[in-house]
Amino acid sequence: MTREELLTRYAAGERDFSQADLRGMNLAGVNLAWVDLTGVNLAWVDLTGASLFRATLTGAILVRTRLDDVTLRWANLSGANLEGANLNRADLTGANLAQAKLTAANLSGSILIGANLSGASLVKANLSGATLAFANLAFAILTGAILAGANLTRTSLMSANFTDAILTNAILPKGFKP
Amino acid sequence: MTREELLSRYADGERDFGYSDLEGKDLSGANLFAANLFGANLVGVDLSGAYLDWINLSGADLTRANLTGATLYKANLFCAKLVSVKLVGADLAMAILSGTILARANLSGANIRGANLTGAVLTGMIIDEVYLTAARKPVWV
Repeated sequence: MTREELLTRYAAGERDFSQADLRGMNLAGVNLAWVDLTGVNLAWVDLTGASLFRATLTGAILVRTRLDDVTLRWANLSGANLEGANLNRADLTGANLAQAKLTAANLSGSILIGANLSGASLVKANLSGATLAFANLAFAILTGAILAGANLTRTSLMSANFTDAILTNAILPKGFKP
Repeated sequence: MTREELLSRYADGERDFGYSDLEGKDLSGANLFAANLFGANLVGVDLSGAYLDWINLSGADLTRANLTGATLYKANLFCAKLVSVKLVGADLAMAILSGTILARANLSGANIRGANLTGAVLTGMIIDEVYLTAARKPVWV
């Protein structure tokens, strides 16, 4: 499938692209709100500044995908593989990232307000300056993660693993002892 | 959804407009009392002078929205994105503003008496003459 074919079919009202092959495609700045990309391989795809509002990306492969400034508000990314993905300044408000793999992902300045990151792997992820207020990080693995200047007001951190994580200037929930 | 469609559905008694896409729409002066716009896309909407008491805007994206002179008494804006929003002279008394991003928002002359701002991000806000009495201030300001 080409970029033009995808956008034509989307404009015609099609939302299910779960069987599509989009590898290596340049989709920077496109609007793909409500799209179903369950299990799709989006490795190395350029989605910089795109809108994936309420998209279903369950189990999708987003390894090293360029997602800087992307809108993933209320998207379902549970179990997705986002290893080494670039999500700088991405808006992930209310997104479901339960059990997602975010190892070495770049999430600096991203908005993860109210996001579900329970059981997610954030090993060596860069979350500096990220807003995680009201997010759920229960059972998340944050070994070696960078959380400098991150906002974790009212974030649920039950059984989260912060070994070797950098928490300089981070705003931590009341009573939290790393 | 157009302005006409939204307002006629509201007039017919419908209140649930969760996750709807109203980007850039002119909703100035609209009556959306107690409507549910949970998670809606309201980027750049004109809601100036709108009647929004008891509205549910939690998780909505209101980036660059114009809410000048709107009334939002007891409105729920929990975790809403209010970047570069214009709330000049708006009434936000008793509103829930926890977890909102108010970066570069303009709240000159707004009333936030009794509003809850726990966990809000307030970078670069313009808050001239904001009526702040009894507002629960964010934990780190």
